[in-house]
Amino acid sequence: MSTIFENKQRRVIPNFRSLKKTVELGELDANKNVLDPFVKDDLESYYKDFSEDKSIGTAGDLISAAIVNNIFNPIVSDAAQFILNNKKESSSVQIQIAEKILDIGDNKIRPNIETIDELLELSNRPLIHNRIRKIKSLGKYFDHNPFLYCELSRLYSIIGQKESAIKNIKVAIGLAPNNRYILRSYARLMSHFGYIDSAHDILRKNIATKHDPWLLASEIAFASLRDKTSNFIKAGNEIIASNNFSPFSISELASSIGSVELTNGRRKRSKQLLESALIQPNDNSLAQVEWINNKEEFFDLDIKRFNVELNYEALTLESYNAKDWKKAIENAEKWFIDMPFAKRPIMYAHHAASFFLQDYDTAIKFCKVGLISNPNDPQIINNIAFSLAMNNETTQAFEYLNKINISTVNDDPTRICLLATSGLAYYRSGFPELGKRLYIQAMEYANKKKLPYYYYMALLNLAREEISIKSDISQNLYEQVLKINEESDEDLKFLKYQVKNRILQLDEQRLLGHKQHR
Amino acid sequence: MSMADDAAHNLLGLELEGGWKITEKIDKVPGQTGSFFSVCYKIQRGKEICFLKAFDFSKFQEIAASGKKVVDIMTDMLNAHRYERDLSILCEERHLDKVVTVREAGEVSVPGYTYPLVPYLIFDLADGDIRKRISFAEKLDVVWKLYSSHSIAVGLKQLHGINVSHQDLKPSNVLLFATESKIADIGRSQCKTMSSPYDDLAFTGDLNYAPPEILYDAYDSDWATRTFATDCYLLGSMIVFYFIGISMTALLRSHLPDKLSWDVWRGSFEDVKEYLLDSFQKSTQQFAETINNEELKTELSLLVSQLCYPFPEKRGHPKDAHLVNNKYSLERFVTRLDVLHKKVKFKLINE
Repeated sequence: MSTIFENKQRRVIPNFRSLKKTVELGELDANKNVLDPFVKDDLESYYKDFSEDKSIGTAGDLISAAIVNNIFNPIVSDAAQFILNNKKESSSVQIQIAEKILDIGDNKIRPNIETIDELLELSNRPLIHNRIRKIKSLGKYFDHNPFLYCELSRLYSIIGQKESAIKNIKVAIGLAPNNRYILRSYARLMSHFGYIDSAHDILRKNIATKHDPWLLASEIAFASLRDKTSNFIKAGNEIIASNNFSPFSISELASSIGSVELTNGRRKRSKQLLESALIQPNDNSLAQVEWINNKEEFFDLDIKRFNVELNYEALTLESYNAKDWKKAIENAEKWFIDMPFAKRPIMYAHHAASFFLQDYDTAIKFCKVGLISNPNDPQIINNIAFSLAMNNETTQAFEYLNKINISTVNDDPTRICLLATSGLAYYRSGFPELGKRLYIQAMEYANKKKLPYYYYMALLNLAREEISIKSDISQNLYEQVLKINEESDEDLKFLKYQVKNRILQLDEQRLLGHKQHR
Repeated sequence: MSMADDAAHNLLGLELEGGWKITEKIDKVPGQTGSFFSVCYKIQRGKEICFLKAFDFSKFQEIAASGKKVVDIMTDMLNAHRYERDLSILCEERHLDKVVTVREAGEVSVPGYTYPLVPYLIFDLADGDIRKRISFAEKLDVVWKLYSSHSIAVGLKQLHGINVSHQDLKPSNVLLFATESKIADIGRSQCKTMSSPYDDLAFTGDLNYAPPEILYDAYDSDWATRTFATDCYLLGSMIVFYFIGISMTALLRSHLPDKLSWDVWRGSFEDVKEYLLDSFQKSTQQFAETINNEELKTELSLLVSQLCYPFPEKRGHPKDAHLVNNKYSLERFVTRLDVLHKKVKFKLINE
């Protein structure tokens, strides 16, 4: 049985993207304006010098001034073209810059990866290792550069090298202990590897947190993840009320406090804050509001109405909630490509593909890319084994299941799922008795741990397998299936309907066969 | 007022004291980017040709139209002229041989004009500025680039020695006189012992070459720290220009994300420092990668990283960091450039 991803709680955990992307998204914008606007030069004397004496020197001088002022116009393009027309006289840097100005040439560090197929293909090559090597080789020029270590950490996390990822992020935080990007990256990475306390403490104890809405949003989210009430709620509310920050800067904070208020039963206040978050949301706050709104129905929300870059998570949730499974998978793919170490897009995509669409090939593919950055994750391993077994690829299913010692898995739902998936693999391998025994073990364990949802899911999975091999089901099992109260849960409703439908089909076939026989 | 009514624009053919004859009006002369309102001429005495910079005081009327008081404008203009003249004389007296100095200063009266008196300064006529000479094709040029870099480092050191900070060192202000390079346009410099029209300004040079602390409006209030740190940066940026034809400030900008750059960022300098350092290191790396010889690469990238470090408090030679009055001494850089030049010249380094 596939692991049901943890959809019960979502918090405004910060994202860990590259520095370049994070800056472009505006998450590192200044909290307050203290400098006067920069007065640009008109570059007149540079234009004149270049037009009167066209040389590599005057062209370089003009291009330099144009870059400093971020002014690009036909005269600057002429200078760039002059450099390209005289490549033998020009320096390689001049040529690179001229090509950039004229938007030609290939200055890309690596090709853009747009699909998980490409990611899977590339993961077999030493692409990320090459990038890591390249960054390391630059060490002599990048002494004490926190972003270098942070990027190394991100790359290591993508290929699932936990120790190296943590080692490098710790160096980064040592070099820039109060930097917003580094702090949020640190917290996200540590929580990714399960060190929630460390993620929270770094933010909780930092002097910059109290005055920075982005850090406050993360601190409050991590406190909530630890079932604690943040000491910064008041400071956060004051920042939101101060009107000193842009709506974009406080969006994550408002959604973070709004989530806490909802948990505390203050719906009205929560709604107010979520409304603030929606004035100018980022992808994270928008996903949070979409997630809450699916349960609370505060707003009539149309995600596409918001002009938010990289809002794939919110779009995944929206299409998932609308039961548009194919769209949900498409958006989850984009979400994962944006954050190639994240586990949630993998879990969403797998569930939509495997459970609702029975598209096991797609489900398997998602699990495979998820395992690149989470190589030992028992939930993803369970899911890939489940989909492989459902595809009757039982040898491979067992290969994955053998990677996990079920008795050492602490998370009860995951343990139940692994027992049930092992049962499924045995059923599909032609050992139904062994399979049934494991399903029953899973149900007993779920009962013991008071997890009725997992009990019923295991029961329905068992019923499905019984039907598939025997074309029948015992009366006792059938009665148990009928007793399941599926109304509260979409998954149970879906699977029960499938099982019941299959039983009805079999009854009809039997009836038909009986009539023909007579 | 048109040029026809303006004495400074009508000096052609006149003879000056000392036997100089004004032979040609020229649009602009390298290294004289118009520190103030000036008109330029070629002058000749026998076979010798020099360059004359005439101060156009009648321009005050154009400025006065913008609302500024005439008296104030006249005072500023006179001060500017006097400052450039006196500073130049000081440089000459102190034998600053790597700085372009005034050969003669005087005044000429041109009858028939509302403002007939035209003060002038006479300079040696240069062959052009280094932009004319620079090329990245010939390996032999490395010898010249190092020699020229060394010369301007000496020039700056000489200026610092008389408590002058140039503030405006850039390719168009490095003039060529046959094989020699000299720093020109001291009109925008700042002098600790001499009052200049720009004393109230934090930076008097061209912002297109300015160090980041100036662009982010986060300079030191101490005169020596601010101005000598700026000169250090400008020297490093010139070395970068010699070897890659792009300024350090442009490199920094090209590696800075738009939102964090001085033309967009409105937050504090403190909040942007770590990103600026990242951009600086990428710039240094890019600079180094263009130099093939390992020794030269190591030496020059080290020089540039010490001279152009984006935070003035860490700029300069580390061994001088503890010096109270001479933290930005150029002595060690001059020596290193000299050694490098000689090593390349005598093929101890095969570039």
